[in-house]
Amino acid sequence: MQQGLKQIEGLRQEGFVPYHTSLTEEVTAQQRTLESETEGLANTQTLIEKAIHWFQAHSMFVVAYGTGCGAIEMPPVFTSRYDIERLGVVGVATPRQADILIVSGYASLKTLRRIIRTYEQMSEPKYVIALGSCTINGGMYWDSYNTIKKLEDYLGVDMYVAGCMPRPEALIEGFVKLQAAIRDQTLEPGYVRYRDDYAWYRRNQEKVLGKNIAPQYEENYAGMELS
Amino acid sequence: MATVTLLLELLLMVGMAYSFGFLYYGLYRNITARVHGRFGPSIAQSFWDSIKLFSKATSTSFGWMFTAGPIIMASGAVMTVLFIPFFNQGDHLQGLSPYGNLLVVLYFMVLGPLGNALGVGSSGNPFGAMGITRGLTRLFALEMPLYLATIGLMITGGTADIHTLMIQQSTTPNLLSHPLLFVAAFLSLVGFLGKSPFDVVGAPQEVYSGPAVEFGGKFLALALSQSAVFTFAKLLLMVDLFWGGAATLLELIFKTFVFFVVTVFIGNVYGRFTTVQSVEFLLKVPTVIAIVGLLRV
Amino acid sequence: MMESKQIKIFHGPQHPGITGNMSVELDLIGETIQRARTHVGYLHRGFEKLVERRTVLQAFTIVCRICVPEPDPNEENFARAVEGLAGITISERAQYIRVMVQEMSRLAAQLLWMGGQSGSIGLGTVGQWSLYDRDLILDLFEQLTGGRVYHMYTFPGGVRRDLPAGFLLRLSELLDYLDKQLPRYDKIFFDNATFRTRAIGTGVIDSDTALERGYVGQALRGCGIERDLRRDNPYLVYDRLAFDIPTFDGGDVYSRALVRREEMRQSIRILRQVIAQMPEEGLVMQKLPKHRKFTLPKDDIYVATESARGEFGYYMAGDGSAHIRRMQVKGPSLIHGFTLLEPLLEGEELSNVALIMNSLGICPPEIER
Repeated sequence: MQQGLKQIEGLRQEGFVPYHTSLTEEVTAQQRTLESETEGLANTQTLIEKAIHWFQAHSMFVVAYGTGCGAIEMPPVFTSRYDIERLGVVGVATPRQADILIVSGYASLKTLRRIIRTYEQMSEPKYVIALGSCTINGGMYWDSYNTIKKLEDYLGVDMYVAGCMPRPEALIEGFVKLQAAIRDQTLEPGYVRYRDDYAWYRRNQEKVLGKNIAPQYEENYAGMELS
Repeated sequence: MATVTLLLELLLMVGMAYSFGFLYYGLYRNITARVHGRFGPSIAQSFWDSIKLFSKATSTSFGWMFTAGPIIMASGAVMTVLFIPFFNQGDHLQGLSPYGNLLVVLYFMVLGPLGNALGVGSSGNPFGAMGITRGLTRLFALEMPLYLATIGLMITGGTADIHTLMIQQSTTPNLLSHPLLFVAAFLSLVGFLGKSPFDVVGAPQEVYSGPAVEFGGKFLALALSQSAVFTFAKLLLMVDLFWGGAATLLELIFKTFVFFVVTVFIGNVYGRFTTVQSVEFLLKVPTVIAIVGLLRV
Repeated sequence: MMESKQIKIFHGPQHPGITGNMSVELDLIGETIQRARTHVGYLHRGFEKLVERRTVLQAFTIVCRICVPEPDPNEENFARAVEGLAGITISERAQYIRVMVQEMSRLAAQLLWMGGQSGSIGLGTVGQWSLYDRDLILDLFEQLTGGRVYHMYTFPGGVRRDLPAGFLLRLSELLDYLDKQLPRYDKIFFDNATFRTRAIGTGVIDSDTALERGYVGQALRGCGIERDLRRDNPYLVYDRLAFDIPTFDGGDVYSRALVRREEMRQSIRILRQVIAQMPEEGLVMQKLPKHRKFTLPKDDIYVATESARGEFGYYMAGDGSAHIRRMQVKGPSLIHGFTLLEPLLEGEELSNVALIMNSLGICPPEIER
């Protein structure tokens, strides 16, 4: 593993602008998605970084965008039966305040524009949880003309919760795993991929939505460092 | 030497207000969770939230006014705390109260919302502007009963100094001797703490978090911190004015907590009024109660 | 001069005050709504086309996904339409089980509605309690069908499998529990001073317009018109069960809430009768041909079910092959989301948008399929 990653790192150090048109580069981008687990990072964290990551893991503000059927299992998760607030997960209304975007279920083309807008408004570090089989491979709607089949092509997804629809317990497990990944930094976050491989994501977005979409995503790199 | 002691005490007061504010906010979330029939988060959850928010990147900018808004808000809250004495005896933790009286405190209480208005207004988000309009409309209605009640206290006490007012209550607290004024001020406190049925400002189902709609990361952290400090300041003022203040730290915690819990329960069992309904209610019920109380002084 | 004061906002789709993935475009002066326009299309999956592409029995798996909060009326409609076209009669026991599934689904939907309605005025406590109670019903569904939300249980020819042992006992225990629970909701929600202040006189529908424009469900019963498919056009065994149709005259949000409150009690009453009357034995599933050989005759049919939000109808046409030639879904949300919501919102305050939307029970996935 990490072969694709090393290759990309090497190319980047040479000043290579990644992912323009060639197919091989697209394949490496997808491979990077699949092999996003980076090892040994936890040991290199300083104490302050460790503390900050712990706080980030134990306080998650969620903007739950009910894009599809999965929205119906959101209320049970947030209410007294399953009570996800135990884990420090709170729902907020606006993407500006949020750390985690839940894409709950299939995304039609019209919704995809709003998902991208919502995602890009969130401030880093930000994570995406994709709910249901529909966001993985199209699920029930594999042959529908109006839904996207694979959310990973358009956003940097961090956690998939499979099922149609996923049970609340599954969603909670997704949260717990994401929490551990944020705490130990064992995950290459989706927002880093999104930022670095933006050209590729943008091309995929334009492929389905046309040119008339949200303006180019510009995240200030310098402001990102933990300070 | 005295100046250094005073400065240290001021820092301690803000620190105490900050930590008690977050503790109360955590308790609020826990008590609410129990009412809902669930466990709820850790008591320190709000504190973790604020640290996490401070560590987030800030990707938005709407000019310097937007940045200044939360800072004005926070300084308003801090100044309010500094002018309210924590204890009714001794020389410590009196803050700046010898240099300013109740009128100054009431003045500083308005500063926060105004700073908020300046900042949010410059973001250009319609939901923010609507939230601010709601906030200022409600503030007008909230102040009416509170001011009438405090005027009543100042008339009976013959002074506007909070410390003197506290000492005068050493036999019977104002809570018992002026119950009508207390009820009016307490209803106003429920609104000041942003609890239902007067939580029109940040209603997520209506105006999409209102003033906080464009606040992310550090801005939201600052807003949360100032809200924690401000919450404690308001509770403290209520205890000082109506329950004779406190002599020890434990007494202080107990008295503020009792007021806090009652507002939490009120908030849990009532829904939200619209802006017009809450203004109507506040101008009818507590204001009339306060006027009757004022006439009986 | 007025134009300069007007602002246009989108209420949704990513907004806590909307009943799903749809948006309402609002022109506001201050906080008063001048004009409201519903925008949909965020959830379009092309169901009616997807159904045509699959064989009859394959199509069954996707119809329940048409309306997420209450999938069972969809299954019931589909099953009844296919049975009507193919000429299948189902056993009495299967009919009783289907009635039971319908009423349980109605109860669950009403409890979910209660969470949304109370949430729209910031009264979170009610939602927390009612969603817990809804989950108990979903637990029963899980025992019965294997799925919490999507059941895929009401199949053409009956129901997919028989009741598990002791199911009716668990159900009647749940009904006893709900009987105890409902007065609590009265106390904290329906008699709550703030809810009454907000809801009485808000979003008033008058009865003439309601009939003229074809409103259904609580929108109709909330303004005093007694309409219910379960009695007017009985299907399954509803003609053997005793129940009342609650109506209230106000036409406002509060009347619709009271109608729903009574309907929960009626559902419990029906379920008790079902438990008492259900035949001990009977074939729950008729023998069907293999799915490639299962053909529909060249004919068409319209079936309708009273869902928790009103009349829910399917039109289905066969052409002699294993595929459905055309299936048209007519749900209550399309009428309520456009022709009712838009005029109702005009002149209202922004605060009342979520309140009114929730009281109409608009379900966006069913508007656009």
